[in-house]
Amino acid sequence: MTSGEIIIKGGFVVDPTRKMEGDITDIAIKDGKIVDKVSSSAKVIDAKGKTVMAGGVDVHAHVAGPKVNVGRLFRPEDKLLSGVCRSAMAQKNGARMESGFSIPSTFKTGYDYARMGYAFVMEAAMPPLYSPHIHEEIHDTPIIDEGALPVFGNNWFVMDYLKKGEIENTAAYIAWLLNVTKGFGVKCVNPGGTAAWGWGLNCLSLDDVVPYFDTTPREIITGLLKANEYLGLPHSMHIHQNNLGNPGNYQLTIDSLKLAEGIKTKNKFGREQVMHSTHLQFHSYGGTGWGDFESKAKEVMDYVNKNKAITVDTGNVTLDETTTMTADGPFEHHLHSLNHLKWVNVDVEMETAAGVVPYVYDPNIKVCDIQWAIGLELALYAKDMNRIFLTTDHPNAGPFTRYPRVIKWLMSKKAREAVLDSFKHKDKVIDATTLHTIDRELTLYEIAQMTRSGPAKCLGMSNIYGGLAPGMNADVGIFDLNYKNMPSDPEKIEKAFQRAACFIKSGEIVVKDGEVLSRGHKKTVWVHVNMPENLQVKRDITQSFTKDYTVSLVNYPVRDYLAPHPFVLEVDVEA
Amino acid sequence: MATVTLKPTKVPELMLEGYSITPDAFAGKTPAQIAALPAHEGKIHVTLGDFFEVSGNAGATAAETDIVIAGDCTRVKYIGSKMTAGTVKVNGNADMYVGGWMKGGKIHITGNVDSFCGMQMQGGEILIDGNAQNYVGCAYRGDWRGMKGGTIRIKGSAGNDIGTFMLGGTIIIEKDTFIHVSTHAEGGTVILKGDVEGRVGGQMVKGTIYVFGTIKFMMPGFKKVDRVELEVDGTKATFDHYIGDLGERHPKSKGKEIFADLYVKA
Amino acid sequence: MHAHPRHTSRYSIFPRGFFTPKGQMQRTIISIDPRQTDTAKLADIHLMLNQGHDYELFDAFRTVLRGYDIPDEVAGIKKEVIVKSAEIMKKAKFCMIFFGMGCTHTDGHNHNIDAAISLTRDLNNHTKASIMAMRGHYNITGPGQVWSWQFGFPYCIDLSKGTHAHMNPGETSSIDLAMRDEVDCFVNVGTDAGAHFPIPAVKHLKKHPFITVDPNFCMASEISDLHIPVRIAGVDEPGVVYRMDNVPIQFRSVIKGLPGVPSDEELFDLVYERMCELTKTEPVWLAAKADRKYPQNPAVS
Repeated sequence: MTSGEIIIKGGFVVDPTRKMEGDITDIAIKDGKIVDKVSSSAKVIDAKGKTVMAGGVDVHAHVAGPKVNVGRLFRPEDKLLSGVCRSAMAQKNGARMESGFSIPSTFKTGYDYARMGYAFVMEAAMPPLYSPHIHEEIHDTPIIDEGALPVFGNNWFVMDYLKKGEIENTAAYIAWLLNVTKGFGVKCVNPGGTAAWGWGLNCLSLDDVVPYFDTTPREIITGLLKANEYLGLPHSMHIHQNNLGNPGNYQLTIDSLKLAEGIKTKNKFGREQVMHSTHLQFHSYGGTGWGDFESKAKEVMDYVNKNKAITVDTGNVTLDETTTMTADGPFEHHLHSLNHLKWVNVDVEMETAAGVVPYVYDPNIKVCDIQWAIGLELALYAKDMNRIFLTTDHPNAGPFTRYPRVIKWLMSKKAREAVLDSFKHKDKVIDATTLHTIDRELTLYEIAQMTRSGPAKCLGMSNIYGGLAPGMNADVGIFDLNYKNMPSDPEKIEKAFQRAACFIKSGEIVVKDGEVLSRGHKKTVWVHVNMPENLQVKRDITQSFTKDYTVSLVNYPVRDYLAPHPFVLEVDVEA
Repeated sequence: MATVTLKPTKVPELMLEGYSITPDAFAGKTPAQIAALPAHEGKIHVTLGDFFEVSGNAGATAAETDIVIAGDCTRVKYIGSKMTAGTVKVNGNADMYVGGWMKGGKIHITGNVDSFCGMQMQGGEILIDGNAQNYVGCAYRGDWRGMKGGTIRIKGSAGNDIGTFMLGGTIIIEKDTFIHVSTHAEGGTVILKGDVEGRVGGQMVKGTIYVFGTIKFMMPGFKKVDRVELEVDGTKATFDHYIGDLGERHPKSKGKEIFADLYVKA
Repeated sequence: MHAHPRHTSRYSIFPRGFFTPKGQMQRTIISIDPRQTDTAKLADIHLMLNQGHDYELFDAFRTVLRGYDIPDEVAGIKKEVIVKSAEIMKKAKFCMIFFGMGCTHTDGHNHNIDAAISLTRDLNNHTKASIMAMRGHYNITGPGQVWSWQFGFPYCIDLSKGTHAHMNPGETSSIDLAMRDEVDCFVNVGTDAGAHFPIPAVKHLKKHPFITVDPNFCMASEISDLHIPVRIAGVDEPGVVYRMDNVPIQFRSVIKGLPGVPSDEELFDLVYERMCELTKTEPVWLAAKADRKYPQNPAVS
């Protein structure tokens, strides 16, 4: 942590946590934190005519871990001719080689997020057995702070406890797993479905019975919601729902969201929601097949707007060639049978599974265009921008490096129409979507809510990230946009967000004019739960490791040296 | 048309990566400017002038530029790679990636070439008077989009992996071939005038292969359907017609499955 | 049986599983090998194919699975046996294919596995199937993982340009580089190029400086110009090892290493530091190491 003092002068500050909408004010930094004032010897950064925002917070991206790495190693062609060259300046600065487009190397991941002014990224699916691997990759991802969500939705312990309705035991198991894997919260992917995939099956409705385990997605979701609140974790249960990516799934989506009704939030981290529903774009489909495939974004958002206990993120399709990867094993097999490209499936003993398939979102294909429109519609139909966040479910719907492009589309009807006009099947896309009828253009303030204050609050870290109030982390992005005189050319918006004019991370200037200057002060964020010992769960875990696991219990917990820059959120649960 | 002549002056100790030896890079340049174009020997930055004596001005565009290399390039990679127009002629051998990713123009090598000749090419012509090593007209590792267009003619023999993941274009091998022809192909034509060891058309979805010689080991997924009279590359002959690879998926058109075709001279 | 002695007892053939409490009795084993090995003796069916015809055999399985006829004999194996084996795979609750170097280090190389992967993929339309490589050396998966996340490629990486990484087996693979005289210095780390490389390749490499970094004396160290001994990872040096199914296992050190012998990591840090000194650059990536101290194992004194 540098003790160097910095003052950012004269910029238009956009900070939803303090209701600042382009107010011209100075931001002072000392010891890696935002402060009220600094001495006259502070380094001055002139931000006149520029927009100043907190560092971005990404609530859901796949940036580290075994399946991300499978994606990297089985797609050499993703690097060929698209690899970013390390400039002479980067070599001089000691920056590492960068490679990859849809699934960048760890170094490129860190650098590219920093260039876009992002400070925190949540790795959205950590298979617990592989957690040491994820922490090794997180260590090699420079600059950005990261956390990782272990997956619970198909965990054999969880399904066993929830079948019997044992919320307390489920909570105790979650607490143990978070502690040993250095995880952040509760992720749930295709509850029941991935376990059913062990038999080559899936769960496509809330009441499909999981083979052998004799439970249902409904029981798993409700149980995890309750267990999450029993513990009072900083983040809510984070769900990737059943039946992802299939036409007509929106009704199931709304039914699953309704499971959050009647569950009260309980935590000391300022979080208001009890369920975070991720990459909603993949879950807002109408129609009975790909022929009459249509958008149901309005119907889904009408419900989301009503229920304050829910937050969502968009999962925007960016019309690129990308690599899909998810712990939703059966879905990836289904996708492979659609596009016939290479497919990898990994099953993780007792815990979860994952699949990886390359995918080309081709603008000449009607379905891809409709998916593109749905992602944007979701954000444009939202009423409370603090409850909907910008993601591309990186790299599933598009690489995270396309966030600036999505911002451009959200902020400019002109830019949206240009894309719509370029489609080969424009008329069919218009028939199946409502995007062309929406005039709304988001403001920089709303973008800041979607990418900064909103996700930080959703993760229970609103006092650390996502704002510029004194006491918060000194993560500050300066973008070449004049708040009072926004450019009429939407391309300039994309350009400004792609390469921050300046990005300060933990009080150190890490990016200047889009060039990375430093490795920053990276931190791994995790949650540690203090709760009284649950003897039954302890016995179950010991027994299972003796009998079923192929690794021993002593080798399971992630050792401290693998995560050398900890930032631990303590949670105390009373008996 | 303007001709640039490169005369090799020394043999590189390691391999020279001559990615600048294309009409596109030469266009509009003087001999001195061409000699200053970058290349790599191992990790060391070098220039073309370090290894060649350059004479003759280039044309204004790639299409108006002919390159002649008056000597052997056994240790020079990437000759004519990514070129879009113009011609390149090498009086001697060339190393890997001759015409890799090329889009147009013509390449003529009077000697032999090493592997990856015409990798993922999209158009243009490559003529090799000698033999080629492996991976003629194949896809890059992991990519499912191989050669898309153009013609590669090898007057000698070739190794293995001919036209892997081929989508279009034509490859002609006038002498013998080893294994793996048109593996995973979804289009394109391969003509083998000599004998081939085996694995012809494995995992092939669509496309055509003609074999004038014999196939030592036939893929079990190919089934003989009829015998036909055809004219192939100027030669009339009777061929046994096989379809396959029956073990692979196949697209449907108008309710009928489309198979790849293999014709073996009867 | 012999290459991975613990595999049959701990993972694949004998152990009692969650859904297979009777162990081997509930499993059917098919061995594909041109030789009569001990594994083949354990198997219910041994497909003794002609050497070098794995590709054809897998294609025959796939053709049968799609309901087509095949020739009376493929790769030296009778049609009835192939049809029967395909039927067993199709009817199994869970079909697991393990493959080794016999498949990958013969003609066709990657294509043999490609065909086996395609078979696995097809089987997933009928049941659940998986395929796994029986990796050769104990932590060979580890570098594959690390290089994948750092450069995007698991092996055969050419970093010589300094600007981007390049991979293309057939060009950047070690034996090709050696045979074609594309390198002028050879560093052999944790393997035995002397024993595993073809002799002509080693002869090419011997024209230039030949350095071996290895805890043991081996054929490569014998012919090296310089042999640097290091500590043995997993014995006197702790760290993360990737099991061949990519599961990371955190190894502790069980004995104390010899004084003055560095670990691989310490050695390369020293080399890096010296290189930075020679090129007058800042050794910034050393700092990244300082904050990642390995825990002392109290059992070792």
